[in-house]
Amino acid sequence: MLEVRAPGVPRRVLMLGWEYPPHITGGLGTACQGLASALARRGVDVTFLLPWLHADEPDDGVRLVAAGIDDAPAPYGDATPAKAHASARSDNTRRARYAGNMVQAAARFAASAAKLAWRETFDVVHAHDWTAVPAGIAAAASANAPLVVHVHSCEHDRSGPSAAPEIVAIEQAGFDAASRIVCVSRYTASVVRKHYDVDPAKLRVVHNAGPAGRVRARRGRRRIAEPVVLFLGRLTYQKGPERFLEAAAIVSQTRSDVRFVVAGTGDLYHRTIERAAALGVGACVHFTGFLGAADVARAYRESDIYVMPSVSEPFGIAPIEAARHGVAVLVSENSGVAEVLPSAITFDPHDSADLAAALLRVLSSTRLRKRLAQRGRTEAAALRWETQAKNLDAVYGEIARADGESL
Amino acid sequence: MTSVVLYFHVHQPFRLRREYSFFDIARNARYFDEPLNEKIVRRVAERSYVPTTNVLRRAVERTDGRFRVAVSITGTVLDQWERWAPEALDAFRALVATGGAELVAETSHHSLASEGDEAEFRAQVAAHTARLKRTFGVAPKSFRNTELVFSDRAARVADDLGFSAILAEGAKRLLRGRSTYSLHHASGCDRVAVLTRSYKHSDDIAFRFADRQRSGNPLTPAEFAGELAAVPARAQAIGLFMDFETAGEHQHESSGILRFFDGLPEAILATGRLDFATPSEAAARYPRRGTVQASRPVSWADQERDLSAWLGNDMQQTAHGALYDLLPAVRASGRADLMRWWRRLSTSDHVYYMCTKHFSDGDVHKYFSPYDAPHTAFVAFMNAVEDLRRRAAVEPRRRRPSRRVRSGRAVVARRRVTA
Repeated sequence: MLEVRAPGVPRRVLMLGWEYPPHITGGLGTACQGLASALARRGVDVTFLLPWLHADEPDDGVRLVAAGIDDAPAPYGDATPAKAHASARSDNTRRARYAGNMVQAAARFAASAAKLAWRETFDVVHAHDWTAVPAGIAAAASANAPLVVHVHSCEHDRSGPSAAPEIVAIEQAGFDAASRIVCVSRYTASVVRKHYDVDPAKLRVVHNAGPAGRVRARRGRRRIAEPVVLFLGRLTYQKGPERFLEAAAIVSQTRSDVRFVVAGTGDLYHRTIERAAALGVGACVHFTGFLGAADVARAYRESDIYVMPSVSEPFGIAPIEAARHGVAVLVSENSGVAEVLPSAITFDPHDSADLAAALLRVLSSTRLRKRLAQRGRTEAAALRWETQAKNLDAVYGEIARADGESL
Repeated sequence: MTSVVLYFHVHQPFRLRREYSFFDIARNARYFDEPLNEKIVRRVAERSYVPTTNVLRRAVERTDGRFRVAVSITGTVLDQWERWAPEALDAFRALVATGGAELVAETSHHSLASEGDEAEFRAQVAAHTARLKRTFGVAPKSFRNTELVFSDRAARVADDLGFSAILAEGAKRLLRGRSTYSLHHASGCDRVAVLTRSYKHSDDIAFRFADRQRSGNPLTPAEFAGELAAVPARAQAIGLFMDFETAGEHQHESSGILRFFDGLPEAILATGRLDFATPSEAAARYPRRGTVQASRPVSWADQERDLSAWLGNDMQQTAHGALYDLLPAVRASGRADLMRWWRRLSTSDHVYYMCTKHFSDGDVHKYFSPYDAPHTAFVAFMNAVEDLRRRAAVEPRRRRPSRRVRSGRAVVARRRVTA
């Protein structure tokens, strides 16, 4: 059921992004689809330009357009461990080469976006993350429309102290050109304010949400009776897998029954395995490597506690997924998801003893675990893309009004 | 007269399924990659075990038994022959029946039990000795430990079990200036003789043969025999120890390796100053010249000639430790199936695959490994160990073996159909 839109509210939005389900490498594509399709259900006319389409994207009311860049690199780098390991020795060279390729691809994407914006009429141009920022700037100029830059993660979250200067420069240019900067959390807004020169009046927060519907419950008895603590995410610097292992080492000194699972792969995959052995937790930490969607759900069903120890996490969809499965959630205090999952226990991601203490507390009390699971479920269920799309629509409305006033 | 002691080691491990994941733990015990293991043993049987054994048997027959050879055959490869390559077993039986081949004892599972648990070490050696007797009708008189791992402790066990000879790498660290061509006492043992591998001559065949071939200046049996005949006059024995798979598998038949072995017996006998002896024959023939000592183990692997190929990094030590920590529970369970799986996991190849020493360079470790990375080997192994731990920890009363067996069979049957 489409709503009738008030006059003066932007109706035609050009979104620019780098990936779209089902072909995704991380949470970016999922969030883009969640927002775009919910906007479409609100009656917004969303055109989504992507480097390439695979033709099996869902028909969710969003008009998808391909720029024809079929060799676009993955938005956050190559996650396959074999390739990553081969070049692990020259981590900085690899990073530089990756950034170079990506900057080039983003420039080609921008040319395509400008053409589309010239051919058609758009009221707002909305760019998701830095890879779409050059395209956003070019398209906004060519359409003579205001620009919204959406920060799902910034270079400082992903790479910490080794942030690539050319990427940071692109992000800064986007913030300068944007009428509004939408951040996925208040935490992200604070990171942006700290690391970039932005006008705080431009900053807005629109949280992510999880998928709708109920999750499939586990059937029958669980095959591992002991408590299972889960890490699920890319094994990269940003996600903090090492802190998880250090905490596991502390916990296993008093709780030898606890099993730990590290699910996912990434450039630190091999190093993380070696680290587990070195820390003496090789026998109680299990590595799964990359997991498909069905196995991800299985991993949640087989777990009691989910830990997200990210050094810096703008949002974090996985904790919501875990909460939906009734898993007790512990998240880094440097994360946006804590703002929408108030029941989640937070810890300092630089202090493995802090995480271990939190884990031991949750492990020692079945009542606490049950309470966390119950509240988490309720909080996760309340997170709807519809709500977030409404919030985003309000930001579009603000821009239109501001434009009207300035005219 | 100097005796050439030609000895081959025959082995195949039960490689693990790379896919054995966290989700399989407590669900199924399908640790081993049956199709892969079958494929490899059949290939090696065709390329190496059958043709090379026939070459050796004919040499014994042609020379009226003057050509002598020794072989050690692990229990795991015997298991695989019985299931997948009976022709290889027949070929070896025929070789042993000539009387020209001596069987050398070892651990049943090519394990590092000598470094993990002495009772298990003795149990595996006893089990394998009995199996060789059953399979070939001959009791072994000499002994080699897995990968030629030699230590004072291992030697004392071999001595205690009544073996007359033990094989060791002729490493500088072991010989300390003594001759690799002499027989020695092992420290603290009165009976067993230590025969060392001459790595120079052995590696000429095992590793450098193909290079010579490629360079257009192939190694001929006559040239090689000439080099052996040039050893000092007082040399007692020349240990030529290598993997059996050198002939036909590691060195392909097209390299001329089988023709080389075919011509070698006569070429050596033709020198007039060399003959052949098996390890126990050499031990009976020659007096010991001094004593060798190894408080730290010596092996035949890599440049280091120590245990670092198997227990060098944290992953390997973790895996080895976790496996042997499990042994008391597996024993106490009294379950033969769990013990069989445990012993297959004790095969040293599993920790060898986890070696990171030359991971990036792509060398001999990589050649032998079915895994893309040492880490993959570690993950699969640790998952299997965890599953086994849980099975061994189950109280006998609460076990439901009928259900386990049923589901196990169903899975195997399904695989066969889809394969």
